[in-house]
Amino acid sequence: MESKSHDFKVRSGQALKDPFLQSALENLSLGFVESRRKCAEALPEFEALRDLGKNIYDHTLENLDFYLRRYEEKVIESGGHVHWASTPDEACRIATDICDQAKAKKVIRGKSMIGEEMGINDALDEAGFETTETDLGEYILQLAEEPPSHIVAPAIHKTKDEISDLFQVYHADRGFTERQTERTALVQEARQVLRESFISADVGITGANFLIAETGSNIIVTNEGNGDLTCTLPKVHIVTAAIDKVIPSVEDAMVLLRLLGRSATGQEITAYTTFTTGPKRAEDDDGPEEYHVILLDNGRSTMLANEFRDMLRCIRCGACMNHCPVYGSVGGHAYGWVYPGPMGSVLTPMMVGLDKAVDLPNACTLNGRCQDVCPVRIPLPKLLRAHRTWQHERKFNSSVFRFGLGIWTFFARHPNLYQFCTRIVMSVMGSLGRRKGVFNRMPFAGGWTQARDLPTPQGKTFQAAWRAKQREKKQ
Amino acid sequence: MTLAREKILDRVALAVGRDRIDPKTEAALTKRLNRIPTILRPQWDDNPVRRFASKLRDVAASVDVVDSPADVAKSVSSFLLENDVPLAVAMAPDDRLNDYPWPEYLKISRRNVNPKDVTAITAAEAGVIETGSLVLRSKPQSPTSMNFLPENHIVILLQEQLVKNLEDGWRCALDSSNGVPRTVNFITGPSKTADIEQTMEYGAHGPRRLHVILLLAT
Amino acid sequence: MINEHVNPSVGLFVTCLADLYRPSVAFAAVKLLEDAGVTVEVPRAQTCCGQPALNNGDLGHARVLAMQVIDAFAEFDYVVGPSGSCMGTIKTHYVELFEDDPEGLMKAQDLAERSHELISFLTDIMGISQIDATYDGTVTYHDSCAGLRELGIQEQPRRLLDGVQGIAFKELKDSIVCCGFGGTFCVKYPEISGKMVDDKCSRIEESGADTVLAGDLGCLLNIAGRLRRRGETTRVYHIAEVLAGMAGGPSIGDGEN
Repeated sequence: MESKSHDFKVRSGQALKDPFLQSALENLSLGFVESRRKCAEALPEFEALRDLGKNIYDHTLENLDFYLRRYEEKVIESGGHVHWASTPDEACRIATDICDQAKAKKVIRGKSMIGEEMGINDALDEAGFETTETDLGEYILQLAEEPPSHIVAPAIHKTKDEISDLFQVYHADRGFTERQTERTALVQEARQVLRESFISADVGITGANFLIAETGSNIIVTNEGNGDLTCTLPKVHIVTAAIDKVIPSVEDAMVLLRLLGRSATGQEITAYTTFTTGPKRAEDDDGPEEYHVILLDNGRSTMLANEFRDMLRCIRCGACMNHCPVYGSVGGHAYGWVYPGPMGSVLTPMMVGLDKAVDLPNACTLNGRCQDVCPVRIPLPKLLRAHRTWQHERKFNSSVFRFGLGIWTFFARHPNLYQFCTRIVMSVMGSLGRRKGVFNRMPFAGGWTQARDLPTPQGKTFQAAWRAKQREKKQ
Repeated sequence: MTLAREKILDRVALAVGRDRIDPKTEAALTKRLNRIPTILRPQWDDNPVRRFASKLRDVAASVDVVDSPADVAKSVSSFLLENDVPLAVAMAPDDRLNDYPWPEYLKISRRNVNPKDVTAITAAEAGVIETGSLVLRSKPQSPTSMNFLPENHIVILLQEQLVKNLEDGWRCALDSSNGVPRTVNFITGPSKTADIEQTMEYGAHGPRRLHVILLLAT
Repeated sequence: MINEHVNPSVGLFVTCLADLYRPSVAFAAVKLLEDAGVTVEVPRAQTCCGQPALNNGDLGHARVLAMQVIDAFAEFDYVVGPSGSCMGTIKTHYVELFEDDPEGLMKAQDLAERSHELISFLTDIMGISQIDATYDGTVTYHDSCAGLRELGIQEQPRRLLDGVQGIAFKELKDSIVCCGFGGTFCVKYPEISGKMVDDKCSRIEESGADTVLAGDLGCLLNIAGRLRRRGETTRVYHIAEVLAGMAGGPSIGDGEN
């Protein structure tokens, strides 16, 4: 997927002016935040599970070489194939090659962020396969030709009216000519249309929430059941997953599953949690004849070696964005690429280029709420700060801003000069604004006064007033 | 893509700071994979049957807790009648489902589902008290499509199949030789989606209704 | 970790915003500290904790400013400041700055151990549970992010406000949600910051309080500035001003008449 992250300011400005998006974001924060809180409070072991989840990942990442090899062995043992890809392009080529070899015409997809990262839909389209997204939200976005705006609830920015319009246009040739306006009717219409796709598909491509080294299994977590139909009905099942999805054992998986549902949607467990291992067994009545796993790196092995390793613990629950006041203000599209919110602001520059997403690590108040709710305790503010340091070292941030910061630092390093100058400036500001109490505008403070008045300072600096008082005392 | 494999594994090895894994580390990591785990699991004091049923009801499944095989058959009939669905079911070719006195008027096909089937009946491997999850596994007697294709899914479970935690449920899904089946499903409620304006709708792709019949031990 | 010093000496970390913008906050801090029985000194060689440099990736300058603070406050039993944000920087981030410099790290750790945000110092170190003060108003409180999440300050200010005569306290919905200040964030992304602070002002309005308090001047200037832009008259004070009985003058963003 092409990144539009460089355009964050423009896109966030548009988002702030979109009334439907604003109300959807408000609902999101009410719904997911509240249900997560209740669900976490209902489980006394939750905090201890978070520590355990973090430890499991830290252990896995420290020994990722071992677990990747073991996982590969186990997949092969169960009759599956493992393919490795350094870049999204390589991964897409592997996927289209598998589809070619299977002489596939129709491909169905179960929602996965890694698929978005790979841009797999475009690759399949270009290679001439008829590709259908099966997650309802992703399906709606496929019709609308839009990217997801949330990693768990991809279509939260779409209104029911827009969905009605889309279905009317795209379902007419499937015999659904009436424009449906009720939610239930829309869901049922999509069910029937997609049902045909499931039954006629040759290849099903899913992501994986986890890969298990112990057994060679992959886990898919859904509420709709689309992932299960995708990996059960077609004769070929392709799993696309990043190398950081590998965890040691089923026991470890259960710990992380307890964290995932609660953190994502406030569910103890989703409707469907499915472990698939290899192709169908000879005696089985259904299931795919071929099972392929495409393991994608895309910068992760680099992150494993630098200060961003902590980010590889991410289980893609979306809690950080649900609790982020910036995401809550501008939504996912403003971030311009696959991953929005705090986790996206850390990952996107690593994956699309540090210089192509300069705004993302800066568009954050470092308030720390994301870290507070992260099920695997990723220090997101620290990682965003690390990005800022990289940007500063590479001079990617604005030169005007650097200049301003430089002047401030110069004065701050010379206390006597600082106190002399600030005494004068504050005295002038104080007397100019004393009567009204605020300034509506102020030179060099346009950023401040665009959104709010600038309160007037009291006029004296504390340092000056304090020294004067001390002198009085002595006399 | 052997080249990519070697490149990625080399980069990973470099990142974790070793060229190869020495036998001692290998042994320790293998041991960790095979250990009998004693890690943290959720605990509770509620009555197991009551908890299991209420967890499932919380996620919009219907649950009948019954005392006899006859009541199992009755529960199926009343579920079908109440929801006004055809009295015809695809029933998994699982011997465990033979022992119930199914009524004559119920048209039973002992086979995997096809897309036209409205209702499937399957037997579970286990029920997880922790979450109210049903554990089902793929095998000739229990094809996975049955759990997802029809509108209605009826699952029959015995009280002695109730286990405490998710980990216990996994073990019940393995076959006697500890082999891992192609598919293990933890099913906790009917299919649902909140993808349209964040409002819950049931029956997105999988079953719109999940009916669980729990037969108590006598 | 209750105070073990007899007549402890406290170096006041004034914070640049209190120094430049609202000295009454620092005077209030001095009063509260002296009432608690400590000796307060104000080192002259202090300006800024270095947070703007730190948060904008300029670690070199952040280190220089951190060392300036470390040196200026080397002699005190405690270092106390009326800001969760600055004290959070001193307490939690200075040590990160000197990870590769053993001597600096030792000094930063020493400073971190002695450093406290004002309100939590009064309650947790000096063991104060009630302060003799009066304030006439319906008060609500915004939890500033750094104080809340880096230093765990949440219950302490509420406990002290509870003992102030004349206060009717109303809890603020979403009090733990960021107000949109975020240091340089608010001028770099004024539209997003504006939306966040506007939400905060709406919650303040809904609370029915006539006064909003917080422990950080950055948040307070942001909130007061937006309240005034919205034409609202809610009084805005630093919590220290109310606790010290020094909330008589114009509140933040109010004129003299």
